Amino acid sequence: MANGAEGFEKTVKIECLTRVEGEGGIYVRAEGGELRDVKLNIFEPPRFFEAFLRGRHFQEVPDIVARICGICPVAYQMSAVHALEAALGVRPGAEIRMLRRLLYCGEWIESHALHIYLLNAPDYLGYESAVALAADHPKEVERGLRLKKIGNELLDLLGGRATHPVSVCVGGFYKAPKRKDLEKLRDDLVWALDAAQETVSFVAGLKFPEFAPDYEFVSVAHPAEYPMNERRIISSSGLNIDPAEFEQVFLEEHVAHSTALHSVRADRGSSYFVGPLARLNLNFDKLLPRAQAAARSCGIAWPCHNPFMGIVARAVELVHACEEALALIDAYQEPARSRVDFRVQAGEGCAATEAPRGLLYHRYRINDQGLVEAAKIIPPTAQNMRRIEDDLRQFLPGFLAQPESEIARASENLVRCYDPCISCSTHFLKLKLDRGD
Amino acid sequence: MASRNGEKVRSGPPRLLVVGCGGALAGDDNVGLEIVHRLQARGDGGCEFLVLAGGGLDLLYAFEKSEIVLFVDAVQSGAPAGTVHLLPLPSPEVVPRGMGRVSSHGWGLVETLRLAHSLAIRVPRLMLLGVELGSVTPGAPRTPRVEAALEAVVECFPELQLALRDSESPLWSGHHSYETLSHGFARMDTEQELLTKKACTKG
Repeated sequence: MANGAEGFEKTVKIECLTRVEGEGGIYVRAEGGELRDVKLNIFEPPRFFEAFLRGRHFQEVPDIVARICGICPVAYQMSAVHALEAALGVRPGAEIRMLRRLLYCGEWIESHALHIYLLNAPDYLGYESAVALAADHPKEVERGLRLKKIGNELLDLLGGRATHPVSVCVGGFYKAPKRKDLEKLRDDLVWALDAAQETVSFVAGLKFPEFAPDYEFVSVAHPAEYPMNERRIISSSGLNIDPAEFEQVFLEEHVAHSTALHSVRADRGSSYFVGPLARLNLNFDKLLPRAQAAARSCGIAWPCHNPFMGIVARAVELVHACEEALALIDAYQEPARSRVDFRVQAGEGCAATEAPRGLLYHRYRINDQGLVEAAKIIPPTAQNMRRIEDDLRQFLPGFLAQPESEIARASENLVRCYDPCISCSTHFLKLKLDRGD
Repeated sequence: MASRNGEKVRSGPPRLLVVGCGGALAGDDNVGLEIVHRLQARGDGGCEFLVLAGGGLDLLYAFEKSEIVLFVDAVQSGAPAGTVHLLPLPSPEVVPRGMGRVSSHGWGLVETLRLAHSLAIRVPRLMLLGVELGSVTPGAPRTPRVEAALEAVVECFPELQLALRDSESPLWSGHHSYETLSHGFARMDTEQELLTKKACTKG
């Protein structure tokens, strides 16, 4: 049978999807020139973190869940402490709230810079890797590396170390930073803010495929702030719920080809989209002034439905994170106490915060000894899995007559623009194209 | 020492960075991390320490601040468990996993060196101190021979540090294996003896 011949089957298998966090593969089957099946195969073994947490003291949870991901440990810590504080009835004060946003800014900066420059930009400029990109575009890659480093330094200062921070606890922080230490980061962040704006110009000038599905975008929303740690969950379809309603509205499903669960809307079984593009589309008016100006002047009409332009949304958020970090540092006053006192009591609580890759939901039930009886963690990549498969079904038909290498390239580029952290959702990808030859 | 652009010059001994690598929860694979932790706890001066938890990319930042980088890691070469290997990097004897193109989680030293080359970033002199592992069973304690090697490396580290700073040291000449550490670091009477042929087996 000839590859791609009408009436025949064709299978493409991507053995190793590259430049993503973690491990998985893609299977594509076409028949008679039409796409018949697409599977995002996640074969990484399940990691069982929710089971590890059962029986552990609630104050151990932030340190354990930080181990789920080396790129976005803060997100896991933030969702965990907010959910546990909801269970315990703890309300940290304004200073702690600001410090947590500052910590999240650090993670957004390092994670977004990594994805934009080292993982995603090579796709749009025709390079196989960041190493190849760096040979021809050293200025851009150096900018990305320095941005990442500045994000890491912020994490290091607030979190005790850049990877798997150790300062976050239920009730606040084990140790609050000194104002003079934060001020030392100010010059770097001023540079980073300019560099982030240059990043928006750089990525907005890239050439993107025409593709704009009808998505339901979902994100956290706050009445006065760009979403990070609170408060409600909204969608482009009019959803507006408390995080406590999350599991009634969104459903996790097992699928045979993936060790990561797929999330869908419980009522209609449809996929949805979380991440920077969703956040920006739903919260554009909450961007800080320079970020909003960068978004307005970059030549993209918002809301934007082209997932490939997620790299621009990510760059705008990079501006926002630098801008907000500077504002938070300028306003910072060392708290009298770095954490609040509270009484341990049995309870159940949940929270949704915005990881760099999108909404991250946690729920915990603890007993009167403060031990975890149940834990539920729904990472953004798992929520996007079904959406990515739906995108591949819509995007790939135009490529089926092309060589397998082109189908594989198109598939990988599309998956990568979601910045999937497969390790978080369970772990890199392989494409298998079945043409029935 | 010349900077990237060859403009700045600094005096004093070459700056040494000791980088602990490995998996904290995978049996003997944590030996590199533990060596660095113990050296840090002991307060050894004269060098910087780094625990490499965030992937090889972070090494680029470390390169800026060092003239010598010593990686301390568990290795698997088929030698008896606890054997200590000392060799300059890059070396054909160290086989990269080649995962950097695939996943940023697999971004390692080789990818970092290639990126440094692309960006014309100065790469310090690199040395690997590898401890042959016995077991990587998750959650298992270190095996006795690896534990003994760990303790000997920590005990003899000041002498090793001196030798590394000597660019004429035979340490920089190739692969040296210490089948048991008592034949190596523990027997030395002077820093020079560390490197004598009776203390090491050229591999």
